[in-house]
Amino acid sequence: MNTFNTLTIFILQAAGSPDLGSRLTAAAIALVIALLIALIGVSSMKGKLKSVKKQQMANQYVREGSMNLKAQNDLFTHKQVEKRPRAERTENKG
Amino acid sequence: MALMEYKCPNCAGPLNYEPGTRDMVCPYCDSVVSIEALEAMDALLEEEATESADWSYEGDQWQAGEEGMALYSCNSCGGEIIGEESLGSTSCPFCGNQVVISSKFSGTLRPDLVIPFKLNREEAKEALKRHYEGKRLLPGVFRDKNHLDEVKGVYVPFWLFDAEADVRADYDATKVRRWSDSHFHYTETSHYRVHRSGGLGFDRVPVDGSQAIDDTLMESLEPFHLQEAVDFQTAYLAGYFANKYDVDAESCYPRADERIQRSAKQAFRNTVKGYNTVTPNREDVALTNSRVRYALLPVYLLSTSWEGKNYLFAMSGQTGKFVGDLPLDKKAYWAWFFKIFGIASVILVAISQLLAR
Repeated sequence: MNTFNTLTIFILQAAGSPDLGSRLTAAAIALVIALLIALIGVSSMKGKLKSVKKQQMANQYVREGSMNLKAQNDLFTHKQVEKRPRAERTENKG
Repeated sequence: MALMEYKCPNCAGPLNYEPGTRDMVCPYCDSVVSIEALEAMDALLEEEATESADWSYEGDQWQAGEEGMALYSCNSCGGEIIGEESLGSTSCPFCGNQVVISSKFSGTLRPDLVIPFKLNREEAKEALKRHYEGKRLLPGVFRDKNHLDEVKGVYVPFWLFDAEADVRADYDATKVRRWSDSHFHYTETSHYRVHRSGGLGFDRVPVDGSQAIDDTLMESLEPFHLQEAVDFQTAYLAGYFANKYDVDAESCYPRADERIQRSAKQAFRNTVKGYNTVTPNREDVALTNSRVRYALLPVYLLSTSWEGKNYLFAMSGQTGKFVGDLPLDKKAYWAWFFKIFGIASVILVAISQLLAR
């Protein structure tokens, strides 16, 4: 309820100002961000209920010091250069 | 005489030799490729990993009626456990149903290794209480009125796989350089063919050898400190159950192979540094010098039922790691959602209106 009241006050205040459009847009963006924060928050809480997960790797069982790099070869093959025109500054046009 | 034609690594167009240089040039995309690079690429394509692992296992067998042990089987889930004869009729650690003593067993493989239990049942019960802590979306009724059935200490059968991973990998990598002059922005992309080959050793990668226990639940208990495993003695089973393996080593090795391959590929990919992008072109992993051992690892199983659903928890009897999925309180979920949304909305809308002035 508090949220609703606060939003109403802001919208009414914004309605009295000349830049109503930009204020409403800013408020809408703020609400979308708040929605995302709420979703991330509850997803994190829900994730704490799950502890049974499949292991993807065997990194814990790598024999210490067993990594043996017999060959390493970094070979330059070719290069490409792309060029695109710079956008002209608008103030130079006038 | 056959006419050699090299294709551009960028657009696959035929390359032309640039007279007076050691380079080939693509007439379609203007890529410049050195002749040394083309020769080296040819050599790399000829290399192939060939060997594969032999995971066959031949172990010692239990002797009939060995040291007063007996085989129990569950008529409900089919789980089979080995325990002391004196246990008599008992309940199944996997599904809770009554199991009956079946027979003195023989002809079954005897474990090579065992990790003895380090923690006791009381510590498992305490761990369950801690498992409930800090879970805001856990139904209060589940936490407060939950009746825990018997805590069972079970030696779970695992196959432990050792192997040497022989890796041969090629990557396409790029370095990007950007600059500008008064008329243009330039992006120069340098392409590299990166080759790595070598080996990496893996010791005792565990795979659950029991059908009755969920593989994912057992993997969640990792890591076990397998260097603490000792030679198997029946004395370690006193007071505990030992689940009899019913998935053989050959059926388990694809799981070990999958994890070893993924880790070996990642280890070699991590040696390719200093590039903006690295894309694997070929990653061959052959496993050699393989060895399998049969081991029993200590696990406490705790089960409880709530709203008609059975919840099984497991704790490593060695490290104390506790796992088990918990139910979700949907009302609490939405209550927290709106609470966070309300607070975040007020703060963010206020900030947005201040900034929009």
